[in-house]
Amino acid sequence: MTFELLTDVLFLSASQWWLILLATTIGIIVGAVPGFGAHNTIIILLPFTLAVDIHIGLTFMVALYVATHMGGGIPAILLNIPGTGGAAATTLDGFPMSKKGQGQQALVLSFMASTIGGLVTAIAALFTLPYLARIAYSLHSVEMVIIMLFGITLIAVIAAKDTLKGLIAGFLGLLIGAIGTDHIYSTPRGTFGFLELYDGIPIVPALIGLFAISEALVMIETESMLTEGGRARMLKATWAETWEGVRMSIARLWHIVWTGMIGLFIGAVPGAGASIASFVAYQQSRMYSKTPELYGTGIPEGVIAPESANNGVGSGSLIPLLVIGIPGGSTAAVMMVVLHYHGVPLGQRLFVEDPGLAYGVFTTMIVSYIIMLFTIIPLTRYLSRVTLISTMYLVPVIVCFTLVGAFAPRAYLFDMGLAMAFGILGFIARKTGYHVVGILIGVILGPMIEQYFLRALRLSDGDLTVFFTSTIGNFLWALLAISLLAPFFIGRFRKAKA
Amino acid sequence: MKAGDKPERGKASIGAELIIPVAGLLFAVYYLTSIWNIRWEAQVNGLFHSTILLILVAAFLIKTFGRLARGEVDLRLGSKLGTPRLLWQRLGLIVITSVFVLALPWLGFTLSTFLFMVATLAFFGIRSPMKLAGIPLCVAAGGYVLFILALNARFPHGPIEDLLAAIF
Repeated sequence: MTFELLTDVLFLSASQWWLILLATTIGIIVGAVPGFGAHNTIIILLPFTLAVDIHIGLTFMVALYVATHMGGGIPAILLNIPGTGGAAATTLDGFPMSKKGQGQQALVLSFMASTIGGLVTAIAALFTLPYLARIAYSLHSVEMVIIMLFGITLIAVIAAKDTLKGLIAGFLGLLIGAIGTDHIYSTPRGTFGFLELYDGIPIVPALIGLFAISEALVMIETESMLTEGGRARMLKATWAETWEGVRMSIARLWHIVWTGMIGLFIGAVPGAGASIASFVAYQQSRMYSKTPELYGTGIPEGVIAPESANNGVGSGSLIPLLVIGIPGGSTAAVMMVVLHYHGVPLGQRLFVEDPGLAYGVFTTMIVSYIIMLFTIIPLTRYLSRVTLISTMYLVPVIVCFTLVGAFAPRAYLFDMGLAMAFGILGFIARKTGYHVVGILIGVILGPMIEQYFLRALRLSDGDLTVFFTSTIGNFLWALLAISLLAPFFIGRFRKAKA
Repeated sequence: MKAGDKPERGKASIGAELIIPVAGLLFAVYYLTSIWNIRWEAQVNGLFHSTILLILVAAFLIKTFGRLARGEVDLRLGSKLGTPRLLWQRLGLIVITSVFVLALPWLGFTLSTFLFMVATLAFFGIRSPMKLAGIPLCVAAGGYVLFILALNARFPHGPIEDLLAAIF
């Protein structure tokens, strides 16, 4: 890539600021509404993206995509309801900050981490495209299965206070994710006879039930979501809190950068996605912290790490799409459809025939993040005031709008009932120490793990030892074992020391 | 731990903590029966997950019954899930929500949203007619504009949507 080409595409992206402004506004709104992710919205807006010039269509899609990552953090912080699966880890420290009356600071931290993390990773992706794409070549079905099991294990260790409970939640989620017909013979499994479950458990009703409905059932216990001190603090909040959030973010600039890079690397692996990346970043952030015991109580690093990684994934997941023609996630898959429709070649040919389009994806991201920085941060003061609304009014609105979100993707009333069932499950899980995040990530990874698991077994003629034959795989197994056993030994060591 | 979880004997009530593992155990058994007589490719993934889940649940139950045998805990539900008053409130919310879901295909999105909001606010003790009418009206109108007009989501149409479509 030459300097001239870089400046050309950067100016082209900047000249489309009006389109990016529109797309980022839509993206933030739909990202904040559970059930209306980027891919749903791009599908709804296909008549537009298919009709306009591909440069405009792609700019619109990319800007909308990055904005949904940012929007997903808003309900996660203010209401403990992640707008997307990638924002699930943000609830761990974001919501406790809100309860303490620091919603404004938490939102600023989230936006700053998203913006800086997204900016840095988009720039890094621009210069390392061919190298990062090689990650996708080195990871095969065996490694993917271990990565996903690793993800579940990490969540069990991080999210739940009791690792055994966390693992039960994760594997229950994986088994729920295994509901539906199998990929080869279409035999129904664990569907309770419901035709609506033949395609598997739909993710959106599961997300909405586990987080939104269960949170609503918990919320009615108190009149306010905030603690007494938190409410007093919120009532006195001024612009100073916004600046405090900005200062907190600037003081943790390096933290934003390295957790964002984790997202970029994981995003470059097709199928791994933001759900895993945000947890890995959170776990790494906690591991290297001098005060790991404070994680989960509402600390800035706990918001920064998942949000920055979440946006790093945004840059990373488009790399395999552009370089090898494999979509890194559902939104990238929808984008691929649009690119195919316009006759855009993917892979090496794209970089030869239309390098402006390929690199333009990342310059659009850069411009989008800069625009969002100025449009969204001033809004945090007003957005955070949602936490002051009495739960008496919030609960019906949350239940109503999120259930409607559960209905939206497939237009089945069954999905609303499913969201309610997940809501009851989530409520019991929350109240008894089985973290809902583990169940959700299990449900998300369930179908993916089966796909890779079967592929690995078919390639090895059903030999289970295939999972222990690769160097990378064995290294990952070792990491998995360490992450499971480390808390136990560290606990014993601390006890002995005391 | 809440006060209600530790009765006078000093034992913690952990019955509620067994709901998820027992549900997981039952589901794993049901899942295994549903894949019993099918081809191995369709079985293997579920077999793997359900076996691990069963092992984890067994470990949890052994740990729990060990605590039970030592007299540290009892199997009562305790107050982990909330007081009886709160449980009734939750049940009420679930019933109203179920009626909302069932009425949606007939009344359409906007009208059923309005009625759901009125019913839930009244259930939570709001008595001001202004609030009981104004808030549901704003929510239903906002939902109509965002989901039906702006996002063109495929929500059930009812009398309000038909009327608005005929006017505009």
